Amino acid sequence: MKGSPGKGAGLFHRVESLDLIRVSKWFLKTNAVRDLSFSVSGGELIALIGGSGSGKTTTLRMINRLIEPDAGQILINGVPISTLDPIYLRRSIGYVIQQIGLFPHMSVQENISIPLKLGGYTRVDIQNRIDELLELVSLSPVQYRDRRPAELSGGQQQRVGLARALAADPPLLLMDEPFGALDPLLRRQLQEEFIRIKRELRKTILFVTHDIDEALLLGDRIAVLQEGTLYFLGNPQDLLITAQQDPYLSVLTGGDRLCTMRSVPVSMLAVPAGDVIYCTDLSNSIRIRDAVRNKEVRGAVLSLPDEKLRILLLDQEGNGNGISESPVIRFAPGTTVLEALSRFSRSSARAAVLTESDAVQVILLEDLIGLLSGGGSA
Amino acid sequence: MDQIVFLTEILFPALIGGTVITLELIAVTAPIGLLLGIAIAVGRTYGSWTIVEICKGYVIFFKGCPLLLLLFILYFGFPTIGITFTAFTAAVIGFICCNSAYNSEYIRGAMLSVQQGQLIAAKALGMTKRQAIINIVLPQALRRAIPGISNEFIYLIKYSSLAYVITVIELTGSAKQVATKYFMYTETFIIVALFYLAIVTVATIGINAIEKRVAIPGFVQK
Repeated sequence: MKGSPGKGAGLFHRVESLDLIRVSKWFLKTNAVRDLSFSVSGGELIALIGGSGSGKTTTLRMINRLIEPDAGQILINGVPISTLDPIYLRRSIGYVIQQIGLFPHMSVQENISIPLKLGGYTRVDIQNRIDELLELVSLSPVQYRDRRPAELSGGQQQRVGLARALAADPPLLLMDEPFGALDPLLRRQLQEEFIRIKRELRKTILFVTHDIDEALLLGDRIAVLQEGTLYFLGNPQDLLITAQQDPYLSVLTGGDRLCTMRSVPVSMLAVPAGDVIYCTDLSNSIRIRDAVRNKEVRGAVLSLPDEKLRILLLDQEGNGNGISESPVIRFAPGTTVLEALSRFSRSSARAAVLTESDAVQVILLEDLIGLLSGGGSA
Repeated sequence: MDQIVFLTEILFPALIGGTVITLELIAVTAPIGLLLGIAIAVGRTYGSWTIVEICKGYVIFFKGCPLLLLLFILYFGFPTIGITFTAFTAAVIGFICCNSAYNSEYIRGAMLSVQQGQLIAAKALGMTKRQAIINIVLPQALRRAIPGISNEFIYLIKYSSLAYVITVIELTGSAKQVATKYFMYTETFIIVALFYLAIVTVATIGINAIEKRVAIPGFVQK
């Protein structure tokens, strides 16, 4: 890299914790971020969601000090980042931006090599690492190494951007609507690949998006920002549950559009006579929830209160078999949902004491209301 | 006098000598003018308040001062305060001041057209401001500034003729001498014009080749 100073890797190799403590930022007279506090633990992916001007991007940029907060503190592993050299701080943090992040005058490999050169890697290491990274993001090194960004499709550019952010193996990743400019099909494909990469790399990630589906799909927890304040922070399930009572979250999650989440008495959940139901444990599956959303399979997702266990009820054909890592269990015609649920009770203490008088949370697609006894009067 | 003899034995040798001086003026001025132009553009865009103001002042002054007057000041004025330049040096200094002021404006415009996101991305990767300007902003800006810089380069070829006024016997100067001596104004000046045209044509072809060579594959500059 021309124009030193400074080769050298980042300041930290692991992120145990990232804390924002009463952080505020004003732009002229606008209060972009107000008194924002939240904590992220190592290896977690937090999806930041909110409307335009809600302070998502500002929050992200304060973490790598592209923007300095006017008040409050940000700590990484307990160390205030204001005491760290911003140049070296940024080398420990990967940053992916929508569209414009790649340098058009540099080839793919030159783009990816920047963090490596800054990190003082040797030539041989750089070459190996570039190929490794391109393979990680599913681009053939031989084919794409020497292309310029303008010779790539939008999806390929985004992959290169991700590879570049991951190049120096930063323990913390900031992603600002990385898939925002892509068409829905491509976005889905990249999201799924990103889930794989995330599993492989186990990084701490802050992910800004304005797409609730993306937040629900990727986020371990979701932070909803509104006018620079933290409106909600919790896991996707809690968000959907809270959204029932909260008008803002309801609009945000499109509760009326995609699915309804209702509290349903267990006794009402019965499979019409003659149908077969299939159940599967969803607690580890992101894809299946998504598949239901996209109506690839017909089914209803049940989540038990205070439990991680989520259960998908599938229609009589059992479509969707194979999209969950957990086995799909077939139940005989006429089985009530309560009976089906109790089948899972071995793995769930809460379900074991489920009785007819209990209620469960149901994420229900409109056209599946028939799955419930009482014709959807739930 | 025989026209052919005049052309081959008097005019051409004189003009070749003048052409060499003209090319020397350009060869010294153009690279320094470009580098200084880059420095001023960078200073004006990314410098501290003081540097910005100094660069602004420089550009305003040299864009506003007629070049001929500038040459007079350098060659005839400076000796009165004890600084004496040779005619050639005075011409080169004048040209550099003018050339760099204009180049800096073309480059500055091109730098402003580099997307803001590029600089943010560069910083986010952990580049220093200096690294970001050298590695990211300038390579893109200079490519975009090529049409402007080449325009200014072609002006330079032509305004280098002003050096004749402060006694540099370059192409125009040598022609003037011959024309006056042999009273062959029309022929001489038409041929000199063709000489300039030839130089400009070669320069244009060269610049086009450079532009093509540094073009970014697949990148349409909007």
